[in-house]
Amino acid sequence: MMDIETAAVRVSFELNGQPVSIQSPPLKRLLDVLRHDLGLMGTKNGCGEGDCGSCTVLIDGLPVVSCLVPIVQLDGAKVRTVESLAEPGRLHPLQEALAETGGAQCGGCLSGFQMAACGYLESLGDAKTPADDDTELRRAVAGVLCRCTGYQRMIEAMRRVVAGGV
Amino acid sequence: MPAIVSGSRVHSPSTAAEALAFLAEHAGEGWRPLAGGTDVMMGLYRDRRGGERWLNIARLRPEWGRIAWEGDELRIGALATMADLRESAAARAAHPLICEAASAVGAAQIQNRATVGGNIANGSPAGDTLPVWLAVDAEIELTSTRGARRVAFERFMTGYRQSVIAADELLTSVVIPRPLSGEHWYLFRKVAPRAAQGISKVVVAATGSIEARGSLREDESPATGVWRGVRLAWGSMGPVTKRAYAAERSAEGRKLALELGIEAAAMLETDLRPIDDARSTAAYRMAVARNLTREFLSGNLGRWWRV
Ligand SMILES: Cc1cc2nc3c(=O)[nH]c(=O)nc-3n(C[C@H](O)[C@H](O)[C@H](O)COP(=O)(O)OP(=O)(O)OC[C@H]3O[C@@H](n4cnc5c(N)ncnc54)[C@H](O)[C@@H]3O)c2cc1C
Ligand code: FES
Ligand code: FES
Repeated sequence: MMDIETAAVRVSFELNGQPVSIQSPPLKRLLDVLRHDLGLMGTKNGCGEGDCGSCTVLIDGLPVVSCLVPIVQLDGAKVRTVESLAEPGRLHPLQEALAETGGAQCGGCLSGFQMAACGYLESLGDAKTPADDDTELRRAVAGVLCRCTGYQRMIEAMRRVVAGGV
Repeated sequence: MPAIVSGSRVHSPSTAAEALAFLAEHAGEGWRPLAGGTDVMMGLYRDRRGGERWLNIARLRPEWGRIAWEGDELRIGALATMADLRESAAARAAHPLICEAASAVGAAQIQNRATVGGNIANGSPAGDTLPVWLAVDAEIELTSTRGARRVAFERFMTGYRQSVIAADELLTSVVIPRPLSGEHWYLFRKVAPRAAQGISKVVVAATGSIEARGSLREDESPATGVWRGVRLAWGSMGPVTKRAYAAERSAEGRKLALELGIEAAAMLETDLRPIDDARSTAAYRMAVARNLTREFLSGNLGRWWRV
């Protein structure tokens, strides 16, 4: 049990497949731990209030906004950030699809969009049968604001991944 | 470093018993529960508050996060998330309103963290699940080392962001009775600037059973029956979530019809006192509520659900 008078806590979790253990004030946001303590700048800080989705990461496979996650709640969790998607010399299929459709413009929203989309696409597993009318795809990324693309090309990229398998 | 980051204390018990014992021992020292953190973290960082004491109950999910039937009651653990509720067949069997409200909270990233207990205890008049708990006659279970007690949701909120919860108590479950068998007509409608991430200007959870007159022919709509036990529960229409009792009563035993809808809509003011605020105006809210009431009670807006 944690000593209640200790302001800093030790938190151990898995980050992009690697074990991480850090000492941190308990209410530090996962977003700040990733960017400042661990140097992973892929996750973006937009609104800081859970609204824009640009800080989305996966915790145990589920998309969440890292600006609202206190690090103390991360002990034992598996975290994935946008840095986990591409392999050296090879883009992730969703990234390929975004490049093809023109679904990537300034990039401000893109880390968050990719993580929200991947969380959903991976949850489909082998049963890749989202509703025909894109309702589910759109709902999956409705928590990510994009000021550039108008969303259509992003949805098209998701559709291509569904058709081709992630 | 901002004060919130360096100056806050968090205690993280690993069992429910430990959490309750801790609260009992430290009652009066300002410890407050931290569940999914979506409201707490947003507020802390926006207002740059620090030096507070938080009881992190997130680890108690195995004990307090289940959704399951126990005899004739559905028990929803306070730590169940909106995503859990959205997907729960057990919850859908208690009332589809529950799943529809859960899918209307924030967006996927919020639903994966936001808990039922947090939505209720946060006590916002705009909380989207709150009208549902009123509409399905839910009881709230509060637990402390003194034991567990149940309070009808109708009596749980006592004023703007005020509830009957005591300093040594945690909200542990929402308990819902098995629905009456038969045909039901219901509506969940959230009116907000956009579908995702919007805070409700008006939110309604409405439901009622439809008593058929004799047995229905194949081609006959259940809408030929009469209303029984109508619930019209509103959020953002006053300081607390509230039922429109007068309008509900006016529907009892009547057919689904436009005249009834118009009549009932005119009675909303008896129970509801919306205000002007940053999100909307009293007049707009009342107009929307009247329209929703009229269309719902006349059978134009809603869904069938057979139990
Ligand atoms: C971007 C964004 C969008 C949102 N959209 C919506 C929306 O559409 N609809 C809506 O209704 N809400 C919305 N919310 C608000 C919030 O997500 C919900 O109210 C959520 O259910 C809160 O749950 P939590 O577990 O995150 O609570 P926390 O933030 O952990 O806690 C909230 C409050 O409840 C208390 N509390 C928590 N659990 C308990 C317990 N078991 N017993 C006693 N007290 C407890 C805490 O002390 C605190 O005061 C949104 C929030 C954000 C940031
Ligand atoms: S920075 Fe987290 S949602 Fe905007
Ligand atoms: S690509 Fe610019 S915000 Fe989405």
